[in-house]
Amino acid sequence: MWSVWSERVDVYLGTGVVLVQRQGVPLWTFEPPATLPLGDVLRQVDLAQHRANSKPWRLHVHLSAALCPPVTFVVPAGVKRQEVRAIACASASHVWNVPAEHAAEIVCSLDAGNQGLAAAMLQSTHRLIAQWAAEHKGLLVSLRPLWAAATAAKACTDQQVECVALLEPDALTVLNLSPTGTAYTKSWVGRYGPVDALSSLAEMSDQAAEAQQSTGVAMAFNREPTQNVWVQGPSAWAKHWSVLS
Amino acid sequence: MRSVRIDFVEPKAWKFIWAAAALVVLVIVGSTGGKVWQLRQQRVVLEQQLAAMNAQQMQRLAQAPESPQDNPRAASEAAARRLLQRDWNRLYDAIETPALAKVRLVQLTMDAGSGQVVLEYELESMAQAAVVTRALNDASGQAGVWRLERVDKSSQGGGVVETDRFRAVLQGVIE
Repeated sequence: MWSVWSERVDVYLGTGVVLVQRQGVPLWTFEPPATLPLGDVLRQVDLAQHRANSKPWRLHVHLSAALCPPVTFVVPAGVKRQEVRAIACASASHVWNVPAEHAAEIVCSLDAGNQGLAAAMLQSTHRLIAQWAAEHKGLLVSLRPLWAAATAAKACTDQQVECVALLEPDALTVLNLSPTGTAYTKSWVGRYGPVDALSSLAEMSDQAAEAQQSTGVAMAFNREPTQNVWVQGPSAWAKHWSVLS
Repeated sequence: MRSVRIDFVEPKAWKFIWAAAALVVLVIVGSTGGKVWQLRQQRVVLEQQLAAMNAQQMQRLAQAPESPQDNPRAASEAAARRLLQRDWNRLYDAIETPALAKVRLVQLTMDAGSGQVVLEYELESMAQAAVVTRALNDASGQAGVWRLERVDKSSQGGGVVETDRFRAVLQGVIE
């Protein structure tokens, strides 16, 4: 139950990295082993933050692309929204390497603005996070992929920008959203350095340049807050963004 | 580029907005209904008061009719009504009765407002006065309507033969 006495808590969840930002409390960075199950990771967060003794949490959770990658798919004309969700889950099964008949193990959330774009995460992950958020009278206010929040940056709202590259501690994501509604996304899970990420992006842009000319924005999400806040960056985790260069 | 709006948690803001809108609508409907009900109640109370006042007025009028001094118009109407209601045929029936064929009616005076009638007969003898009174009362069908006021004796002729004449004055009330 939501309460006026509850506390807003921002959490960034990735594989091998967890950031917890509470009001009036310094950022808490947690780097568990990447093989540690998510349930154990979340329990560690509770213990470290003494959640049982604190006010109820209002959780705003952002997921890395490693836990919640983007999925693109083609929507045939005249398809209903529920069917679109099924198509998205079927497409997501390829991304997650899950057999298509087990597409029900994937949860998809469709984008309202761009047709044919969705975020996909495993049902077990979604359930774990929802249960964890509800503990200790907590409330899950939002559960979003960070790459979706990154597209709300001032640098991306320009009409000419069609491509966004996002480097997270555990993944590299490229979003190519054209105004016509067609979308292309790709996400690589792994610990890329800025140099590796830029070279990968350069390769990709060379291939894409032959097909079309599009302007893009490359940004990096850092574990530690930076001194100089990127003014044009996203509002979520505003101190953690920088231009990838 | 259009920003991506994806959230695995259904936004609750809309629920609050809808709830608030429903609350506002309810408040508006409730206040309007309350106002209408209040006005209706006021109307009912006013109608009851008006009915009570009308009943009181009617009762007051029935119990104490207005005096002519208070309302000359009503007095005039009442007088006219009385005049129209008075049956003068009773007077004419009485004075035209065959029993009075031998006596001569000299004077007829009547007051329409009060119904007072004064008859003056010329008689040949004093005894005829009683006969005339009885005949008039009989013709009226009611004893005591006509009353003999006086009988005057007068002498007529002025010459060789002098005869006595009597004049009887009778008074009655026609209603």
